[in-house]
Amino acid sequence: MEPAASLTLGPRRLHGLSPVLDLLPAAQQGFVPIAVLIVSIGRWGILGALVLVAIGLGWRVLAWSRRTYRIEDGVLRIDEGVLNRNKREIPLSRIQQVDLRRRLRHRVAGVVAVRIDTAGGGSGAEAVLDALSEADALELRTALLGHRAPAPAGASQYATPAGPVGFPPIAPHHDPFGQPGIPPPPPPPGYQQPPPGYGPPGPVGQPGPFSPPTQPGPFTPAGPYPFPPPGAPAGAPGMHVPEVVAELDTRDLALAGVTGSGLLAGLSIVGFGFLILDYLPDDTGQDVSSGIADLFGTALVIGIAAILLVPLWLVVAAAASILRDHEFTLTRYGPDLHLRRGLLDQREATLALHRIQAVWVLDNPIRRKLGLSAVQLQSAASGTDATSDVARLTIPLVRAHDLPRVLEMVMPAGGPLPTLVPAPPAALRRARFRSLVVAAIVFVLAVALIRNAYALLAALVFLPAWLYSGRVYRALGHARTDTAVVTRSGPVVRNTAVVPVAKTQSCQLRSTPFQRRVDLATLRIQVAGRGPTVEIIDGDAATLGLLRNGVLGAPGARLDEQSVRKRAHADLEASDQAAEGGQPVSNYRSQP
Amino acid sequence: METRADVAEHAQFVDETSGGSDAVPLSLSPKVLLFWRMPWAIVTLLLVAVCVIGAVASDATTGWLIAAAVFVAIGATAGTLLPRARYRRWRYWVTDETIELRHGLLFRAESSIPHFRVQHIDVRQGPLQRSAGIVELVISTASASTDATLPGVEPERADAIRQVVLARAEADDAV
Repeated sequence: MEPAASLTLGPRRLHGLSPVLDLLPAAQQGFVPIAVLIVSIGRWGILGALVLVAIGLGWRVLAWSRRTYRIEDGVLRIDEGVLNRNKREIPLSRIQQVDLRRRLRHRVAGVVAVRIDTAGGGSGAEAVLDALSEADALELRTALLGHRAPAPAGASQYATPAGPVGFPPIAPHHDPFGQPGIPPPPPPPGYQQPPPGYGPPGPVGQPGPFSPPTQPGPFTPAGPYPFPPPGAPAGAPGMHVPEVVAELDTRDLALAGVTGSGLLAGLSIVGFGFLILDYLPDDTGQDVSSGIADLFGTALVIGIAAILLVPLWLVVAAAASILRDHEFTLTRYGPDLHLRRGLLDQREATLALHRIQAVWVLDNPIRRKLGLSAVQLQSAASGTDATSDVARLTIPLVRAHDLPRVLEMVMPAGGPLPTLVPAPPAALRRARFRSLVVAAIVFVLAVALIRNAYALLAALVFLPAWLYSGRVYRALGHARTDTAVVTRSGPVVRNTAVVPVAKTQSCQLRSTPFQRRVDLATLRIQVAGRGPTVEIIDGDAATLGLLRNGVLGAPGARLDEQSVRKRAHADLEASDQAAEGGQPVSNYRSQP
Repeated sequence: METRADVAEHAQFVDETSGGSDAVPLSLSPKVLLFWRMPWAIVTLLLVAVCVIGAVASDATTGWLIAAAVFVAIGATAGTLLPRARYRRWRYWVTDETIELRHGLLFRAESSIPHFRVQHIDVRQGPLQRSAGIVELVISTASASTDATLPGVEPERADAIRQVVLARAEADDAV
């Protein structure tokens, strides 16, 4: 693509308020020492504090005046440094994403912090420009991303040939929660299939509820994405039409916060405990009953406190969710996902679909009752920034009827969720054994330490242990479709992980002596990046062995690796042409 | 001292023993036993030294000496038997398509890494390994949790494996 070489963006400085904005976090950290200084020394302390602030500000103004950025010859150049002059050169073709962030101080000042990441990571962002004006930031993003090389011809990211490979696939049903498969009803006559990605079909001629926004909202960019390079006509090749994946309003976010906080799940367990206490006989002897009354006394106090605190906790959870994910919008622009969220701290992040290694669907008992779940996208981003949306992108709330569509949009290679094969009965016996052993230990400790009749109450712990082990077993399950492996676990917070077979990096079959006794094993499927490993727990050893061979032998994985390498080579060649050799080449051979 | 002939010979051996269902399992270098036994020896010696000091410094000499004898007994038996059992369980294959590892006494693990997923292969040698004459081969993929480490092979064999595997991994690049 030629335009990369011709684009120039003149040398510019960051926004004029940047020194002040930079000073604020430092002032926040230094507030306590300065306050101590003022209090202890008095008037001279105030003077000293002012001098410190002035020095800090002066230094930052100096740094601001030295920092410039420009684009020329297909390279982003950032010159900075007061004492040590630092020239950074980032070839445009290596830039994978440009994220915008507006914290509270940025919003007050009307500026944006721009974070630029290249492929292959390393730790942290490649470059951060904090802060630019809105117009400058959008123009920079257009310039940086408008020239990304298109995917090389013939290397389809989602190419996974159909057909059984080593392991008979389970026919996919359209039932994400394991209900016996009921095929979807046939479409009514006169029904017109909307273009893919436009959400549930509406009546003929009308858009479904998820058609792209027609009016610009607060985050709508100033044009179709990727933004046309300056001078190029609108509708130039490479433009993608946006498709909304998930859009959450305040009510949704409050619901997500309340149901996801773990509080209600915990309450249900506590409530269950109180229920058991109800069934004790009323007079089992004077001492015991008075002892229990004491116990109930304290339990009552705790209960009342809990009842008062619970609504407060829920409100806080809902508020935190709203603050974090305000106006959550996840949009798909062709091969990229674009996320906007946040109230005080606004973030815009971009994640390329081909970097998504696994998709996790999370729910807990409350959410299951309400038909809700959360979806997490695990990507290969290797940056160690824990707050990065790219490494682990979470959609806080997805409704059950929407889940297949969302999964289809974020992971086309995954396919609809199949019915999961439950774990072998031996796994139930193992789970029971484990829980009962723990309960027995608790009981023995209680009897040994408490040494009177009350200790027998500890025998109550066996019932919850039995029920818990049942939940552990029922949560286990896995399935293999043509293109993906699906596995589920978790007695309380249930995770369902979908891994495309093409994304498998390596597999490991593990077994403990207890598992080997009953022919069970655990299969771990490793995907690119630093995220959690997908596991099929306590599956039949022979089945898992076949599954492993099938997964490793699938041609899709080889195609995936080839397309990753082609992308890397295209980047390297483009950057070799553009750069003057100032930018060191990444150590990674390919960036999944 | 390794020569190019040694490495080439090992490479041929690895090439020939791999492939298809006749893949021959390879074992680690026997010198890894020395490497695995060293920590046992060091810890046992330290404990015995502590016991000797205790015996000298305090009155209950027999107690300390008995403790020392117990430590020596435990250290000797465990240090002899456990590394040997572990060595016997350690197997790896370099097949046409994958690298397979099988190891572990109680907690067994079987790892498989397709050749085309290998990003790079590192050869490491710490001071203990250098004194035992072995190297550690670390095969890395794009996943941070891939477990593909051969804890102790001869340096020539390590180079041979590296050559063979990287050649097969690169073979896809030619497309």
